[in-house]
Amino acid sequence: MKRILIALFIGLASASLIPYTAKAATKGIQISPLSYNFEIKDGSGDTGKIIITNQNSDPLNYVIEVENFASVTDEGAPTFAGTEPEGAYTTLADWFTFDAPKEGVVEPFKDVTIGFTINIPQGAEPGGHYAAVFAREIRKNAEGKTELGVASRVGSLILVTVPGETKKTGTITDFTYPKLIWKGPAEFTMKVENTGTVHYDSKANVELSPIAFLGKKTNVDLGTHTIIPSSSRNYVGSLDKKYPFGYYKINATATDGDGASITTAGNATLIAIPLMIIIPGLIGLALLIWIIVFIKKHVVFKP
Amino acid sequence: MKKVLFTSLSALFVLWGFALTNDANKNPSFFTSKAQAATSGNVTLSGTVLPYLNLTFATGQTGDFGNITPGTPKCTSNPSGTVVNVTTNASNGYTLALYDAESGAVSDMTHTDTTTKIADMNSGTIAAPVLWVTGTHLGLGVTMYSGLASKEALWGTGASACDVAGNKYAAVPETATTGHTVTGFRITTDTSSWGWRVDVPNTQKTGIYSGVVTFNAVGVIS
Repeated sequence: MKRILIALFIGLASASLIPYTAKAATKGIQISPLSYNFEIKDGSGDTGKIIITNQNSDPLNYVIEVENFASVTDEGAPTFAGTEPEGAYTTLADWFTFDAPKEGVVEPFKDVTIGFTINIPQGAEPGGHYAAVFAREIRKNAEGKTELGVASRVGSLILVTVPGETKKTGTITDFTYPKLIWKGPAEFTMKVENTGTVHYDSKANVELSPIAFLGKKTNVDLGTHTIIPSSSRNYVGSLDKKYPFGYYKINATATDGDGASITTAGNATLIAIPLMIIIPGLIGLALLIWIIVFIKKHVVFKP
Repeated sequence: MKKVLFTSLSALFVLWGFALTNDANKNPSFFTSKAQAATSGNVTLSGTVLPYLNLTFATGQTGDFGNITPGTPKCTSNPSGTVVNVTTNASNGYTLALYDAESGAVSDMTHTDTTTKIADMNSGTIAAPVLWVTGTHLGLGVTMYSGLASKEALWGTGASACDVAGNKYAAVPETATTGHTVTGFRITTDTSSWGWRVDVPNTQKTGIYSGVVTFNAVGVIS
């Protein structure tokens, strides 16, 4: 009897150690691809498609929405304008047609492909036009409880260029760099603003040119970003040498939409002194000098 | 000896003659072995890896405030609040925005009369959330209390869904406004955790209120 009880106790204790994980109920939606970049003349059109996937075990009720965006944060996050009409004129969001009803159901673990056409009206303003096509989960409020529900919406960004008289200009509005460094890495940051009327990819670079032959010519690539009109993007890069050395003239550049270089004004310089190497070197030199002087003073060489 | 030599030579001559008069395709079967017939061909495989973004809720897709007493702020009963998972192969990361599509200073928390609503939090925006002060702040507010990849400093120092001392709250905007951005490629799922808080004035109509807030995710522009 005692053995049976001990065995039972051990069994129950072991069972309690087995972790029990309740499978979390996840609800959500997936979209693909995440962006399109079109160039469409006024009076013409182009097509694309989005794929909406339901990875849940319940059917997913969705609705397709299109919203314009006109500004983007420095990190590249668009700010959307909502689905209400913006005025008497039509915008990119109005130029979409879909080849399927905007509302539908995606069965569990299935996907649905929805094609769209963008028809640019005759006489549309040349330049950049921006919107996102969203798939939003339709969620009904539960009844009988004071509660807040959350729904998901995912989008594909649509960047459209209507060719014509456009400007692809830009300016570097901010550039920060270290003036004196003891050791690497040395970080450079830049902000580039699109002052034109259409989006473009801007590549930023920092060139370090040695002054008085002190150092080696080096380029720091800050990367490439797409900048939409009236928006800025941040660029960050670093000189990754552990103990850089030299006296440099800094030339920060970015490209505009025509590939022309935009540069910063002023003379920027950088002094790099690797103290971790120089100080021990100086100490060693001083020690050597002291030893030589000491020997000269106190040691007599007899012929 | 002579006989053996003569026989061998004769056999060789016969064999040689045979080989000369027969084409290779008619070799005697005892000199050939059947090899298994071999065929080859090319199969072209192709496919496209598309960028994708998946948004799911790990917990808290429904937040229950229970009974709300005017003047006593409440958080939703789920201690984790709403936990949002985003998985994407976008090379530049993603942004997460919130909105309720309600114009004016009202939230989507609507009475069963379908007209009366609980107000938006009376101060604090997604761009500049504020610490909740009981007696001063009313309406529905949201906070982000945790982020796996990162947490924006503007959301405060709170560490749980109802950490009122540390969380900073904002009204839910009408249109999708970015509350959280993760830049750069992420191999694994990213998680952000959100808390909800509500208080109402004495004049709030009694009854049951419910509403929906939408989380909106897109890839960061490259």
